[in-house]
Amino acid sequence: MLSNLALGFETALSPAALLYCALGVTLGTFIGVLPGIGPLAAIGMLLPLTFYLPPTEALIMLAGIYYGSIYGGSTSSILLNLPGTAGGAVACIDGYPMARQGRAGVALFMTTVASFVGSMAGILILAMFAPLLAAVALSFGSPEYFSLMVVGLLAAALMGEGSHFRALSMVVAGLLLGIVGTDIATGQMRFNFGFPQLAEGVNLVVVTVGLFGLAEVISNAGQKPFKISSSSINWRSMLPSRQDLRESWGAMARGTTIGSGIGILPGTGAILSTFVAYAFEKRVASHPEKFGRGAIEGVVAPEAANNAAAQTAFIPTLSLGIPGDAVVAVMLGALIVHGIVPGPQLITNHPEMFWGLTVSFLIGNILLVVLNLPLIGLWVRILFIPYYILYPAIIVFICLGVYSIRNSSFDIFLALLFGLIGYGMRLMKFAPAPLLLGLVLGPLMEENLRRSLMLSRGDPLIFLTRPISAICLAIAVALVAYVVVSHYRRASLSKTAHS
Amino acid sequence: MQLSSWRRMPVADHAAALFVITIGILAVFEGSSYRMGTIASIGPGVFPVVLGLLMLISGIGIWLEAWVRRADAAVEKAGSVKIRAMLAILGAVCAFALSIDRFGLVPAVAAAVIISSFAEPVQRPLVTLALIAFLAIFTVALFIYGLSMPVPVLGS
Repeated sequence: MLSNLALGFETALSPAALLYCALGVTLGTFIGVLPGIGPLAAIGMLLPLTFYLPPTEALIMLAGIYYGSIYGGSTSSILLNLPGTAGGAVACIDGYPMARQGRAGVALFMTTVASFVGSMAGILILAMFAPLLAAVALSFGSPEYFSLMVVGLLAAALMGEGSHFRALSMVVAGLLLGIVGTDIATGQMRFNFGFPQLAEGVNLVVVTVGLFGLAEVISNAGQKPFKISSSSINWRSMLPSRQDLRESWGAMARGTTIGSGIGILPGTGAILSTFVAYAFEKRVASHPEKFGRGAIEGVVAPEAANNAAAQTAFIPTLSLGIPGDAVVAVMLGALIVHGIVPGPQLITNHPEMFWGLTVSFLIGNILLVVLNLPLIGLWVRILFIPYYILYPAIIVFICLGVYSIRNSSFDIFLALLFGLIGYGMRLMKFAPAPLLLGLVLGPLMEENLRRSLMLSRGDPLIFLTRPISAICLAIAVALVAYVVVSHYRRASLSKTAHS
Repeated sequence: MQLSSWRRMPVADHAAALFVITIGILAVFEGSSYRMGTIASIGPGVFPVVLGLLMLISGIGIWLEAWVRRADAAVEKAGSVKIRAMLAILGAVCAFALSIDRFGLVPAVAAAVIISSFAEPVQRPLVTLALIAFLAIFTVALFIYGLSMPVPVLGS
């Protein structure tokens, strides 16, 4: 362990790595603070640029953007009642009332502390658990991987909020999109509708920036600039009282635990953990009626959960090759382009990448505390930037980023198409994130299916006769059963309420 | 099933279900034109067809979900379609794609910024000009000089 950490420090403390880490977390905080652009769109836009970097540094920067954005994501939630990131929505519920009570400073301070605590715990679990998991997974074969991917995608579909069938259709749509292009095994051209430019399939960057970047810009353009009432910010009282601290530390501990647990599961990540942490906190609270009116537990627990989940989401990603959520899935896509095959052998073949990344998380989180506490005034001022200055810049970067992949204006038109589809999907109340998981895992899933059936000479029962695969499929069935049962319970409860 | 409550379901739900079902049908259709192979050696058509069927099931599921929730759905407000923003931004991207090969980077940036400004109800020509200047300089510096992207600043 110590030698691994030494390797990690050696990698992460190189000037290039430090630079990209700092760049990543600063950019991430900026994006997290701003409503109107999320970490997914930003990572999608920057992905082509990271191809010019060595893979470890690229990943350090992208990851910095990811967990950096989670730090900043609660700022606009607390001050404007407008989430800067999807996971920041929960911070509005108790954070905004706190701001209106003149306790914005305390709220912002405590969210930073909670974020740090959650992250540290997550990093510890990552360092201890991922290598162990990878060691176990070295014995995995194609059937195990296939079943694991089924569980991961099913979890992504069922564990989100909103319509389950919509989420399921998004996962399947992603899998279908992954089919576009030349089938490696047979050479058959699929779903390319006569366009030779689609021979290599639909690029992950194109889909991400179109579905998330362009669609978000369309949704947000034409808005009036935000106004922060001056009464909601009180800088003198940024430090929490002793009572605040007493109330918070339990919430932080609970949130951290919940976030770590949810983050480890493939398919579920930071966003789900905020909702679960908040609901749990409310249930175990001694004064649940305080929630929604400025209860500090309601702010601190989801933040700790958020950050813990963001770090532990790297566990299944780096040890199994199965992404923890959509953002990490895109980073996984970046690894694949760099020629690095994600899976248990990643830690053994590229130890400097894994340990360098883990240590860079540590450095990054420390940097974030420095960025977020003293400089919070700066970030708040950013909220005053009118959107009409930002979004043309976003559009230009999206177009250029897409063009830089292979100098093809076809790709830009494709991104345009996905932007249109993405906007339409939002109107039809789809949440597109699971689509990215399907897109990244699709080709791998098909290959594993094909190999498994070849291995068993056509016997589909191989997925059940091999124990680990059978366990995964059993979990999948249990997930479905759980969802169905909870639906019935809710339906019968509302029926008795109506009668 | 009463026809009236069926029609009272929000358009968004019907549209969503139809969207998904259509994709499913297309996938099954196109996928079945590829070779299916055997179970031991599955062909390129298997995955598309199976996924297409799953899409169909999901689409029907969306309809069922909407049917079950039809009482609450009536209270939800539908999101309004922002045609102006949509056309402006998609037009901007389109303009960029058409200009960059023919006219170079700077004209493409200018076109994109100008057209996207129409998404705003109020035009701000000074802001637009400042943005064009800043973005042109920044992108040329970063992409052409910094990353050696093979695209001309001006011209084809």
